Amino acid sequence: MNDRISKDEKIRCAYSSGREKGFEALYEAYYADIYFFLLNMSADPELALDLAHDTFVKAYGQEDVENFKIKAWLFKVASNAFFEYKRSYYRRIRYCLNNLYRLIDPPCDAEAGFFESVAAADEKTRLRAALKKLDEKDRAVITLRFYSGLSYGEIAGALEIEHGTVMSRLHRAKEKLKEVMKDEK
Amino acid sequence: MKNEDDELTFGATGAENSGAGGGAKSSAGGDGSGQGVESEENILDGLAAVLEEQAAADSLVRMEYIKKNEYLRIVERRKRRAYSFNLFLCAFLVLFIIFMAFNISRLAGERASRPDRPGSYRQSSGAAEDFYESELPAPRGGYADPLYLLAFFAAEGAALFVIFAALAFVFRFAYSKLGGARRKTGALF
Repeated sequence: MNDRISKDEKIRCAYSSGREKGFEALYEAYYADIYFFLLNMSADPELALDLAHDTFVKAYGQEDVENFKIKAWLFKVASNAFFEYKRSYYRRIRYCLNNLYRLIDPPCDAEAGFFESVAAADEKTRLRAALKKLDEKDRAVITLRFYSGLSYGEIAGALEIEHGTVMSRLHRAKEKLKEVMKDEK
Repeated sequence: MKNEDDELTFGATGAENSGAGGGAKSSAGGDGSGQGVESEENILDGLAAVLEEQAAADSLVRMEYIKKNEYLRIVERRKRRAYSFNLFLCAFLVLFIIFMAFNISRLAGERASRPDRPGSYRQSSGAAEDFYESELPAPRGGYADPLYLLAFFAAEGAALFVIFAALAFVFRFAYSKLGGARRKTGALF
């Protein structure tokens, strides 16, 4: 918690020097968190990359971060990007076209190395496969709570739901995830 | 009463988020009464082990290249978007004006070269009822209503706009993909 507070304070200080510096500090601090949150939600490294890109494009447009909790806000933008992807036909077409392009222009060694590394990390545990069996809304709550470390209030803000709904989804998701993990053993 | 801002413990200190990967955050804070924490910890034991394992595996992922590449894409995209639409609009207006000037000069030329006809504007000077029978040639050489011509030119302008938008999309797509290939090779060194 104290680490997070000091991280947010550093970002606010950076924003006082200008938007470019502020965004750089925000990006360095939270890119990995956002990427892995989206990876847990989508179980697709390339889609997670696309959605993380969209999240930080929106964050880049933010002029002032003085009056809100940065991490919760960022996760709100990321979860909205994921749910919007699921709803939007246009976004899915765009994602398919981007993947088609990869057949013509395959990723370079460094990029391919990144995706291999992500796949290897996934193989060491069955967590993401198990998470995928949950309902998306339950998956978001459990990922934000236990993987990304947000508080109940922050999760309610990020997903724009009531505090009570967070608790009930969390309880449901925990029970379901326990069953899924047991079945897979 | 539960303290919303506290986080659950997973027994061990838990994996830290680093620049190279993500992971579960944990702190030494409790979540409420001792009994509540204990029962919740029992439920979470299995999940905690899996989450820590995943976080540890994720921390080994090499993110430096992706972070650098994505940062450049984000910053460049925001800068490009700001003026690309204005450039596009200016280019379209210039083309449209040139096109309209060409059409008007063509019409003026046709009008100047046409001989006088009975009932035309030149012969019945000042006759209001002849106004709409004046020498405004239609595209195929006949007489036409000025409103029709206005609609015709507007349709031509709209068609030009659509073609131009399509071409801009194709060029932007090609440029971004070629730009991506350039950055890939550049970022390796």
